[in-house]
Amino acid sequence: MTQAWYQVASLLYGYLAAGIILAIVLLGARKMLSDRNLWRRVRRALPQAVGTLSVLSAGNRRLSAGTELPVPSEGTLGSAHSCDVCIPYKGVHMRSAFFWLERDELHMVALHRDGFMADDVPVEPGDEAVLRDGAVLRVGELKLALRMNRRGAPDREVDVGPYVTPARRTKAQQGHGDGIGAPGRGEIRREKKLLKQQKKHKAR
Amino acid sequence: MAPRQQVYTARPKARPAKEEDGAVSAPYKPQKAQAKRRKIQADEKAAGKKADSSRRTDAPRRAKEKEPAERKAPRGGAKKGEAKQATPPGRTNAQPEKKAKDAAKPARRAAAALRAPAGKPDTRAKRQEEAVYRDRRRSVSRGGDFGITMMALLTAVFEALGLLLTACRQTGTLDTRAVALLAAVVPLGLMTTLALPRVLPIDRLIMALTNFLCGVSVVILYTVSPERGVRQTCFYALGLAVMLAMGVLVSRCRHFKGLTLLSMLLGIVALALPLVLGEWQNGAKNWVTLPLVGSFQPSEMVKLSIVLTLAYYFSAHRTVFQMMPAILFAGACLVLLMLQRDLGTALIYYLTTLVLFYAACGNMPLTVLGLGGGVGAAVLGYKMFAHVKVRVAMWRNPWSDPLDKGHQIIQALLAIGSGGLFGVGLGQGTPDQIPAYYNDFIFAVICEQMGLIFELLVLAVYLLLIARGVSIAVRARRSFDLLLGCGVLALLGIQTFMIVAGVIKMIPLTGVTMPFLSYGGSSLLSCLAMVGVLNGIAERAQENLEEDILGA
Repeated sequence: MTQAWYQVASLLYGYLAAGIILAIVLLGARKMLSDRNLWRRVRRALPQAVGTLSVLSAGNRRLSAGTELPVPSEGTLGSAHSCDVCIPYKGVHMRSAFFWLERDELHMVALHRDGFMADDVPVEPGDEAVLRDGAVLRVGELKLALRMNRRGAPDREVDVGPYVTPARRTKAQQGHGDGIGAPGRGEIRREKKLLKQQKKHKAR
Repeated sequence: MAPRQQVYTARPKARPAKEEDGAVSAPYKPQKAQAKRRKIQADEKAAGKKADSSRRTDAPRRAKEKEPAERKAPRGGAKKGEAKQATPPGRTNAQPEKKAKDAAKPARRAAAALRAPAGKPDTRAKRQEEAVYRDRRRSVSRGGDFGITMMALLTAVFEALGLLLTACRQTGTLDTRAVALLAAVVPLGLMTTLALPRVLPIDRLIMALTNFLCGVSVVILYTVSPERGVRQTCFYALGLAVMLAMGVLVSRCRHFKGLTLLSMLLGIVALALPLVLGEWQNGAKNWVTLPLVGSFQPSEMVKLSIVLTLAYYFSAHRTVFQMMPAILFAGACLVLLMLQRDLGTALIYYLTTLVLFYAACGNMPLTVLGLGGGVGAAVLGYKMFAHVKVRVAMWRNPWSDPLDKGHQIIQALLAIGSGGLFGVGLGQGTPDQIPAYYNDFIFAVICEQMGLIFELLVLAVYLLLIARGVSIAVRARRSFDLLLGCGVLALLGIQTFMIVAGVIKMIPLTGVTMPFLSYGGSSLLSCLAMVGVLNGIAERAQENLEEDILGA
């Protein structure tokens, strides 16, 4: 190609490139907006909260028995207004626990030194409790029942209640509970196996 | 004359009339009608009857039967004078057709009130349900999309035409290397955008935008320096592999504690390497040459490490004290970068830390305090380092030393100006007049060759990439994923802003590369690894959504 022809072709290429990139930007923006709208529509049709915490014990003026507190997929539980699950009640500390959803179970780490009770199992600071549908929490003087919204969860053994992972108990001391490194499937399976063996042993 | 009492009995006053009106105006209050229907059904259930839909029509009929003769009067009612006359019993039978028609009006309206809302919401609800299912199918689908396919094809056309044009540049000969490059780059882009997302964690839109930016980089670099163009293609292919690996790692890994600790250790070691093994280049000591690996910039690799550490410690530990390990790590990195005199990268790290800190805890006073500390450190750096003083002086007035210190910025500004709106053409102009035209000043080269409009649209592509990243990050269920995505986006955004603003003389030059466009293996690999992290977060969010849909 001669120099003159190359100059003409390169200029034409410049115009074409501007058109191409304009088309790419417009297509990308359109795709992004449509995808965002689709996501919003789908999320709106799905239950917003992963579950609810129902107040079982008699409450006070601000929190009566039967009140249902929506539980998001991750957050903090306490009496402070900034908490994701705000429980304005006597004995509940500003930030009592940190929780997150993991495979249809709510993992909860006690943040305060008083801890809390999960189905009469004391959860000490830094411990991680795994709560399933129907678990009863006792935070301060308040009793709360957990109801999970997700109906498609696989059937689980009813008799296996919420447990505090022993490995986590030693590992996650106060201020070191990570909240991210949740036990994997293998670990949960091992825990369940251990619990079964313990039950069998007790039965014998 | 009829007694007054009889008048009241014959023509119901306000209250009964209101009840009648209420029945008539029921179509405008469907909830009232539905409540009525529900009550009737509940009563029937209680009576042991089987509730069916035909009861709806029975209800008004019964109401009609129960209605007293007086209520069967038309809604407007008789005039006062007429009403005062008691209606003789035989009178209703005297005009049977008209009276019956008039009397049936409220009842018909009542029946309509019960029927209309019962029919409409059913079809509407059905339609809504269908729309929800359609949306759900679309949202979990991993199939292709017309827009993305078009974007991939347009990118391929851009790359193919650009490289073919460059191949035909010499009179009478065809540059086979450009053709070979074309055969490598185009399939790479098409494969990663269209085929691989079906099996691997890849967000199609992010991949299409990234491929376009990398394609622009390869085409421009090949036209200005063919060797660098070929090497950039190799880095691009390697970077895509790293991106896929990072995507799989982030989407599959559930325990980040060990990885975080390892990355912290490796990060400190990597940043200390240039101080031991590096050599001074352009006023900084941030490059290392190793026997097998070759020369690389460790601070580019440590970007991922710092984002991972900050996201990990800022997500679960939300008190300032518990965030300390990450803050200390970031501080150590900053000290090492200051010792290397790589102040541009130090500024990126610092601003990213602040952005993540604010995103994690929302503590504005501490963030402002940190920002103030950064300003103080910048002033200290200005006082301490001579090359910072020179850069600030050249930013203020590059024409004070146009042949030496200000030459770089002046040439960049001239190149941007000479390009005009549509550029001088691919391979035209004099890019080699700008020092470091292939890495730091690639923005000026693109402006000169392709024009201002093209460059502005390239910046729009960056904005789209960041907006898509934000969209992905906010979908994440866990704060760790959210902060990881935010950190990656903050890094990319701040770096792009710093280099573009530096080249157009908005801020002093910082000597950082332009993500995806600049020549350099370290930069491209780290940027593509960050894209991989975004892909992994998108995959996790998608998996969570699928779980939710299946569970609902």
